[in-house]
This record gives sequence, C-alpha cells and structure tokens, in this order.
Amino acid sequence: MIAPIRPRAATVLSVIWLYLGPSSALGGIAGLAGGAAVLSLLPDPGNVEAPFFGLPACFLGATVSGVLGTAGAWKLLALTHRGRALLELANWIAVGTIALFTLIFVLGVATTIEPFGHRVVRWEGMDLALRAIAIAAVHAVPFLVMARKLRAPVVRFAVRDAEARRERALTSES
Amino acid sequence: MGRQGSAGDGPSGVKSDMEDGQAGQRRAALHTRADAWRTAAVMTCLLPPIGLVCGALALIALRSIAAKIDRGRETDAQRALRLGRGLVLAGTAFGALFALVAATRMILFSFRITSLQP
Repeated sequence: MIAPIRPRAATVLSVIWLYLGPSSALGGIAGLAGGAAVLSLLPDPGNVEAPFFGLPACFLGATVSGVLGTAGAWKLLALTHRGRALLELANWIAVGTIALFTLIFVLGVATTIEPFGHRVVRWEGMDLALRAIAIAAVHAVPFLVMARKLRAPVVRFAVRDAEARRERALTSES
Repeated sequence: MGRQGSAGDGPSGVKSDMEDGQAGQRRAALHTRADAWRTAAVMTCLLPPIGLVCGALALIALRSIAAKIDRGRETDAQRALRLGRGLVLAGTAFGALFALVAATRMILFSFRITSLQP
C-alpha cells in the first residue's frame, strides 16, 4: 500500500490543523460553557449590552473553525477537494474570530457610552487599543498565510489530479 | 490512506522502468510521511506537559530521514520514522489528556462558582 503523494504544503497544513482544530474546538466549547455559566449569574440577562454577546460569538467561531479545520485536514490528507475547501473556510473563520474579538476589545477600552447613549472615543484607552490591534494582526497572519497557501496552484492541481485518478480508477473498475 | 495511482500508469511497457517508477513513488511517499511526522513533532513541542521532550526527541529521530531516503537506506529511514511516530503519538496522547482534564476542570469551576452565588 503506497500513501498518496501530497505536496508538502498540503501535508504541513493538514497536520497543523489536526493539532490546532481539536484544541480550538475544545477551548471554544469550554468558553461557551463558561459564558453560559456567567450569563446565568446576571440578575437580568435580557438587559445585557449587545457587545457582551460578541464574546460567546468568538468562542462559537473558535469551535466552528476547530471542527471544520479538523474535518478539512483529515480530508485534505486524502487529497480531496472538499478537504481543501473546508480547511480554507476554517482559516477564514479563524481570521474573522480574531477580528471580532479585537473589535470587541477595542470598543471596550477605546470608547465609552455617554449618559445620552452615544458612544464616544476615549483617547486614554487608545494606546491599549492600538497594541491589541497589533497583537491581533500578528495572530491573524498565520491563518491568512495558510488560507493563501491552500489556494496555491501546487495544492489545487495536486487535489485535482488525485480526484481525476480516483475517478479513473473507479471507471476502470466498473 | 489509499493508493493514488502508481508511476506505472502510463503505457511504458518496460518492466525496469515500471520498477524504477514504483521505487521512486515509494521514496516520494516516504518523504511525504516524513514531512507529516516532522510537522507533527513541531506541533507536539507546544503541548504540555511532556510534549516538548517528546517532540524534541522525535525531531532528533527524524533529523536525517530525508538524507537516508535519498541515499537509498529505506530500512533505516522507516525505523527512524517509526521511532519518531511513537514519540509524537506519546506526546500527543499525554497532551490531549492534559487538555481534556483542563477543559473539564474549567467547565466544572465555572458552574461551581455560579452555584455559590446567592
């Protein structure tokens, strides 16, 4: 039995996501459960400010990207088109989750709500907000690079060739 | 993982060419597996509690595998791959268990502190 010949990028990205996916999903589920517990603490959960729900959305994003990433990595190891597409989607969801978390954090530290309900900029918190944006950019770059690598011709053509070979093998068998 | 076709797919008709092609295919597959387990070893290094030790040892075991494959010492390469794989799997298993325990403790702690509230 000879294993499929994958491009190095596909192998490396799949293995990275086989580690990253389950830990991201597990962390997201733990965060969601913790968020539910904290929400049950509040005296009036119906009156919670909207940005509060951004945090559970981040945990949900981590869970979804983890599950999709794990499934995609498993399928990409077998060089399927679906695996490549799922893994790319997982990377973009991870980027979106990081962006959402940063937005919530920046809104929290760099803005304040006036008594009349308007949100205004708080310049004292701006340095912290800029630092958060820089950290988020550094964290998002690997996912952007991975999403870009998955679109590289070497990966797409390898997947296409593998699909074609499988189809040919099926046709010749029948 | 199934076989994705062999180098003897084309109508070459010469047996030695097919054998060479199959050997090349086998070596390429070994390179792919080495890539996969080397990446896994790097990821294992990040896993507590013993991932760093297992990952580092696996990286040492997998260090010269490409050179061994290229020199035709496939048996040595396969032995190194088996050793590296075992170390990676051990580190990953411990890491997974550790993460599972940590997540469960976090969930239980969240629910316990909420039940302490009046």
